[in-house]
Amino acid sequence: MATQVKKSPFYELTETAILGTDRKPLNRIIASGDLGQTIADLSLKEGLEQSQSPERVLLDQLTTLSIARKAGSHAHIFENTIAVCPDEKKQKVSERSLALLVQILALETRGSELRPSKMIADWLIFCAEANQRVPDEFVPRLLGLGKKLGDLHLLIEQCCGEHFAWLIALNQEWNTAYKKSTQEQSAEADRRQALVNIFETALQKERYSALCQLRAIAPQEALAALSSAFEKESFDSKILFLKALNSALSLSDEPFLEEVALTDRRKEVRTQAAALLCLITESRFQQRMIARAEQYLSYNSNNKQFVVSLPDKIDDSMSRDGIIENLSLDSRLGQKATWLCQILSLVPTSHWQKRFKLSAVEILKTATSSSEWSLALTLALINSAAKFGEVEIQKAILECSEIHLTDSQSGLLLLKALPHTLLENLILQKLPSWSQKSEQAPRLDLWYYLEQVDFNWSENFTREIMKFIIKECREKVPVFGHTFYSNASIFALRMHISAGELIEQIAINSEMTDVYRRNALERMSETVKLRYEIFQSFKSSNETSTISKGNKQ
Amino acid sequence: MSIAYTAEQILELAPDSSAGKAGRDLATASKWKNLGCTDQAIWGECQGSGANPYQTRADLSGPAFKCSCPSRKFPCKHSLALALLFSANQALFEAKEAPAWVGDWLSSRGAKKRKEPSEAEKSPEQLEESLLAKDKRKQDRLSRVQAGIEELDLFLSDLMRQGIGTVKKQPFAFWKSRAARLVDAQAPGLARLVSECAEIIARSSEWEDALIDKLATINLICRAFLKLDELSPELKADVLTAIGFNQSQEELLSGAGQCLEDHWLVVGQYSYTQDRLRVQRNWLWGKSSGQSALILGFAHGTAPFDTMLIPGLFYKGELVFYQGSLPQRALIKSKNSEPAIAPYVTGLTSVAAALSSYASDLAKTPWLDTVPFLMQEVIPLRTPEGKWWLVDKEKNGLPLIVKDDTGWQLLSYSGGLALSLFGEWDGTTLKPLAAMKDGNYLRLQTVEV
Repeated sequence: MATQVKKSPFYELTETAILGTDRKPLNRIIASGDLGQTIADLSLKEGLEQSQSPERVLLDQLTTLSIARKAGSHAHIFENTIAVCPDEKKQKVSERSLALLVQILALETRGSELRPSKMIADWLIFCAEANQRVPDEFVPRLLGLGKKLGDLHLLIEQCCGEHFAWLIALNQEWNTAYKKSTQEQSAEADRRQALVNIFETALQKERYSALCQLRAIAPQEALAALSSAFEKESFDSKILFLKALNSALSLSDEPFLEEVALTDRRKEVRTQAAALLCLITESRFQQRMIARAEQYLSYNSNNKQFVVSLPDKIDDSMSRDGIIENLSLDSRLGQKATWLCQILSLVPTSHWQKRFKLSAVEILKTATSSSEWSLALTLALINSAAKFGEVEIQKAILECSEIHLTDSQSGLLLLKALPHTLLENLILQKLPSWSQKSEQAPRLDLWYYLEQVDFNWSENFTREIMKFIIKECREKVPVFGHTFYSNASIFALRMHISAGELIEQIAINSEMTDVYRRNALERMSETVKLRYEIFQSFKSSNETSTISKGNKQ
Repeated sequence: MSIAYTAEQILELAPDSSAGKAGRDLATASKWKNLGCTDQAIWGECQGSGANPYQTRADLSGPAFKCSCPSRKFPCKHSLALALLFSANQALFEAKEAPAWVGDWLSSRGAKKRKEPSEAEKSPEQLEESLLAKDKRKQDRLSRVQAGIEELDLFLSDLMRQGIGTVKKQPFAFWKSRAARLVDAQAPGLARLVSECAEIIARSSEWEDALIDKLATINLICRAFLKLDELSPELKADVLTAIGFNQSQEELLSGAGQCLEDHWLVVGQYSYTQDRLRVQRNWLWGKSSGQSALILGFAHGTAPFDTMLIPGLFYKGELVFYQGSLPQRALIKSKNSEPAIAPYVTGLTSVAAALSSYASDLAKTPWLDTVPFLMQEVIPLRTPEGKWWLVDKEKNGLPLIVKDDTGWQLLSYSGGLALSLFGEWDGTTLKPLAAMKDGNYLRLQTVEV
């Protein structure tokens, strides 16, 4: 016999309301207490059927029950409680600093521009340096930000205080996202293992980052991790991961790189491996390349000329070592000149200095005056200077008036490879010639130079460049170049911010007819001001806290 | 100058984010000249694109702003920038006598406040005539509402006959046309409730119970209207307000409404758009009286709200409450900012007490939509299922309706410790609007339901 489950009055009435009285006639509802009495009073009464329709009664009963249900709400009882966040030790950021962070977070991102992420990084660095933290209620927003900006995890952690660990323990999503940075702080061995795990399981970008970090602390483990997985990697992953080996290259990397350079199916991968091999001093690859170069290049001390003798065609050993028969290096180079350039680019200049007993300056001078081969030889020396980072030849190239680095791909690569101080000195040396009132292109070089690199400029250098811009603006020199907008924006992000006070001296006014320049300067000014204001807000809050500490003492 | 707002409070007044950003950009001393202040006002001149600088002035006791720029936004970027500049560096403002363009504006503001109600200007005959006309208009309207309600009653009965299960398939117009008929019958309050039925059904799940609750409210108001003459004056006023009869602000301010003077904390504020009309709900809480008050602001398009109240700030002043059995909605009779007072008011310390208070309110006004809850010593928490709750010392909890971002913000703010929370309780969930801890106020983003 089926048992009949007793339905609650509200359930019974709801069912009737959903189905309609045509389909489910209204039953008499029985409930206890005052509520039951009220509902009973509202029920259909004999003799009143004409004045009281079932629909009206249903509505009134539903109304009564709806109010009764609301009025009789009971609280839910919780057995478990939440852990309390440990007391914060760091001081909160000032209202001004926080307002600036809110302002940065509201910046619109135009295309792929760096501005918002760079500004956020700036803010976090200043905050961490000031040993301050965001207010408690702001921590989740910062943690959410870290989902997109993985490289800021450590800074975010520093700026969140004790709330960081407390909150990520409560939120699975944050816990997963920030696990990596937490692991990085664990013991060295654990950290290495954690990096290996990331390399084995994460997405390409995180894997590359983990491999680079592992390479920095344990080069051999990084090599082992890469070589065990290399075969199964995609083409672009192979290229990317090989770049991670660039640091801490040693002879122990040679067998792996040799194998890749000789056997990989893709030419680009083989070339990448070959480029790394040639950076390993005394590697068999480099020795082969030097031997090959010596075959083709000699020096005639009588007429102080290089003599080049190249084979008619590329042999198998050259191909295996990554020399490409038809490579488009520079439109001004012929096929054989391209071979020469490829071979000599992989030989350090110091080798020729020893062999021919010439200084770097003399080698460069000879190269530039070696008639038909001069361009190939010069480009090879520039490539070699970029690849091997030999300062002597780098300086010689920078001092050579015949070489315009911004004219060739090789030159731009060298600019990128130059040490910061060398590049800054180079630019500062050239600055007077660029500041002449002229509409000639050389001034454009400055901005190319500034844009090619991705490091932060020194304070002295920034001040000199700012003074240059201020002077140019005052003298209304018209030519800044059509890429000035992006040039100036990038400079504003990379300049040393303590020179930010100079921005007020840049005269931007509506009289400027050059819209490109005005827009670029306005954009630059906006960025610098914001960065400077962030810097100042932390500086002044630190000074205030120092004064108050002093007063207490 | 005693009144100083924080940058955050000033930016709360910005009509939109772009005005706020532009205001921040202009808030540098180099862009201003002739900056000055008195105990009541601040002013300055900002060079814009025109030949003459814009004259910007602010009465911070309001706050109130005026600028000679042509912007249609209010407050404009210059007004915001002036207040931001004052907030950042008061030393830039020289204490001196206000120039004529500031003094005239302050005087005109004072004159507006002192202006007598227009009814008093009428002769006894005109007054009687106007009262008779008003009475006739009211009777006419009551007749139209009666007809509208009878029609609505038939509609509800039909709905019960066919079953509410059938309405899920009905188009939006099914409800909207019914609401339009109620607007025609001059019952906009009922029309709004009927429109809300369409929104409830549009929700993907659990719409049946919510629809029944809404229909129950509509039915109750209709039934009460049909017995209007039998009701107490307070309940009668409640029914008429629920139907959409407006109480005359002029009459309320001239003595018809109950007046209460206190230090009022703007404890909650949020805005929403309803039929192209922007509505701002401001909840005020009396420091001494413990009385809550709802100040409604209305504006079309980008026009400013008529009342500027900054959440987290105290105002000293008099409020006049609308008539009804549960005084809730109020008008501001007079106000002066008191930013120096830390935002702290006392509320209920247990969930049981809050629910009991809600039940008593419901007994007075059964169609009550929402009530304000100010809970003290409560802790927000999140269940493993992702639901947000507010738990008191006795481990009794109230469910929160909150965006996840706001929930985490609230949880982080609490740090697992007790705080005070203000929100609107609708009988099933609490919509948190603000949290207070250690004399600090945190405004919370609301979720649109």
